[in-house]
Amino acid sequence: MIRQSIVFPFREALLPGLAGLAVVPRIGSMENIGDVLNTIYRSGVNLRFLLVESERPLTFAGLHQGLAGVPIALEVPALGPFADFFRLLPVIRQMNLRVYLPAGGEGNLTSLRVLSSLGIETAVTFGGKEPDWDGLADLMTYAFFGQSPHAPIAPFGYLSEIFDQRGRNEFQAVYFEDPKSYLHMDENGRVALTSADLKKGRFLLENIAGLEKGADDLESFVEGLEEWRNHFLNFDMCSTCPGWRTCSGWLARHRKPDERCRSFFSEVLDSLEQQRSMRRDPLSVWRP
Amino acid sequence: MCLPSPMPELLLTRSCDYGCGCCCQARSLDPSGVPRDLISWEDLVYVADFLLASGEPRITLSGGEPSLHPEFVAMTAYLVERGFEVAVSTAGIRKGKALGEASAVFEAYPPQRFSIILNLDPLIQGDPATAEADGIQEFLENFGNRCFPTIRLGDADFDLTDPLQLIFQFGMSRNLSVGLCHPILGHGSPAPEPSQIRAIVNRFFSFADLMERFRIQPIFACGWPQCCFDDGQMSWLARNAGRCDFTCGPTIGIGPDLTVWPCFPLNRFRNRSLFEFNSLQEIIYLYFDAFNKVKVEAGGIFPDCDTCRFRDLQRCGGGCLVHNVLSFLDEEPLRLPEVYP
Repeated sequence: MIRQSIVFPFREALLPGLAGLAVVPRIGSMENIGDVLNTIYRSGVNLRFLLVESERPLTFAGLHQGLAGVPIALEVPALGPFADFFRLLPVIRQMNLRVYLPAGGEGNLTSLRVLSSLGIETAVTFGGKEPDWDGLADLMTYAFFGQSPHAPIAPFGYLSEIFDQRGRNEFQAVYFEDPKSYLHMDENGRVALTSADLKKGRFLLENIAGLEKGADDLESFVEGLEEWRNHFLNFDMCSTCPGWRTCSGWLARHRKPDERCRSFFSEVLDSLEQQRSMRRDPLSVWRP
Repeated sequence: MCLPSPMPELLLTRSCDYGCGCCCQARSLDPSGVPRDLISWEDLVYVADFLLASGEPRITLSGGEPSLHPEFVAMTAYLVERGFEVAVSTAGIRKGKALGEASAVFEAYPPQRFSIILNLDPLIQGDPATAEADGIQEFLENFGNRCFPTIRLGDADFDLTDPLQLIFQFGMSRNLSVGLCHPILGHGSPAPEPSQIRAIVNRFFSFADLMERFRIQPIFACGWPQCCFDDGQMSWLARNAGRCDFTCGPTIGIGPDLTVWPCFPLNRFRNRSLFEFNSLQEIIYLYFDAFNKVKVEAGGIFPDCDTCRFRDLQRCGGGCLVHNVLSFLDEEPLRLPEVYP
């Protein structure tokens, strides 16, 4: 049985092979989203959410009332003009939406904070331009310790939910890159553990049909899950990072590790521990 | 102890292109037209969180002229969307783009969530303000029914005919807030001497007939001494559903850099940073306590205030506290340390 959701570039021809599976179709814009949804609903797959990689800012990404209730992960380069955004806000508030914004984009850290404070779920993405690490640390502090209720900002909100003080804490599921939760398929139906593997041509299987019994028994799948050990075998910078337990070397896939990301993820770890220490376990009183 | 619960005022910018006579921010816009001291989005979110965590769902946006902030419309909309009842204190949103944006965004909000405290001072201050008054028509056509008019009186030579007609013509609230110009600590802005206040009150009531005709109900804001009103004027106010607040207490202002102060005339009195406090109530308590100490040192703006029975009854605060604080600065510093800026 396949437990993972399959992330794939939307092609109608791929759908019959995915019948009965949880899928994450990837599309480049909202333009034909109505047709895409109709096709998906007719095909017998289980739509987990739509991954929309839009090149337009959120305000102009094409969100509309008709998409209320459709689960969407929307990657956009920026928010767009605030004044236009507020006209769209009543629509956005009805949507089952998480907005992904790159940390390095100008003004995006502010936009993430504003969106979160308005109750809209967001996620910071890395890659592309170098982020303002101090600004990112401020955003992280807001995400963990903001005094007023606000929507979670991934990966901080996600880490806060799963944080284990004694173990590794992996947040790549936020970016659909956790092989335990997501597998990636290309337009030819070949399956890989991550999108990076897909780009490199490192395929797990040539066809999804080979996964009938699940991926857990495949040697390459188990190897992929254990890939984090390479940081220690190679004794690279991540292996001595104080923030390892929060990043697990994930950021090294996007940029060369340095003191700035070390310092940032150490702060994330400290904040998580502080947040955990602030949560008191409810006092257990004897019951008659 | 029962603390007051004033509606906090947040300055979006300190720049202003209006020339209201008794304001320390008057004509403070740089000749380049670029406003200075702008609040950032991060700080705005912090203020919103701080107030909501304090249980305060009301906010006044002020300045300078708040509509000069390039993000004025978006920031106002943001606060409304956060659940605040937002009042914008402005002399009129006149910039073409800002007015167009404001009309498009704000029309969706019910009046109790978004209202305007319209400063009519430019209309009653004679010649230099005439040009400014011309630009207000377009604004009022869009927002007249959301406006709560306000004036501040600085001398006895004023004419209320135009403002009262505008209130009537554009369907503004008939509750006209009437303030008194006070000296501003650390700033040489002109303000009437206490001895002139009675003449200002008398001049105001010379428009009583016009106010009755237009059904205007004046509300005298803080800082007016009760003894400057005669029994006939008090009775007219009572008959015409007018109100007066002769007390004086902190209203809490927050600057674009998150400096806090007790009220506009005392915006340089014992300034602190918002980051030093955990709740709005802590700030109110700090200034409430300081105000009480000032009142212990000096009763009010007149020598008779110390023995006034209306002050004992807390019906009157003895005028605006800034007069007392300013008088302390001319003496040897022998009073309680909390009463000095």
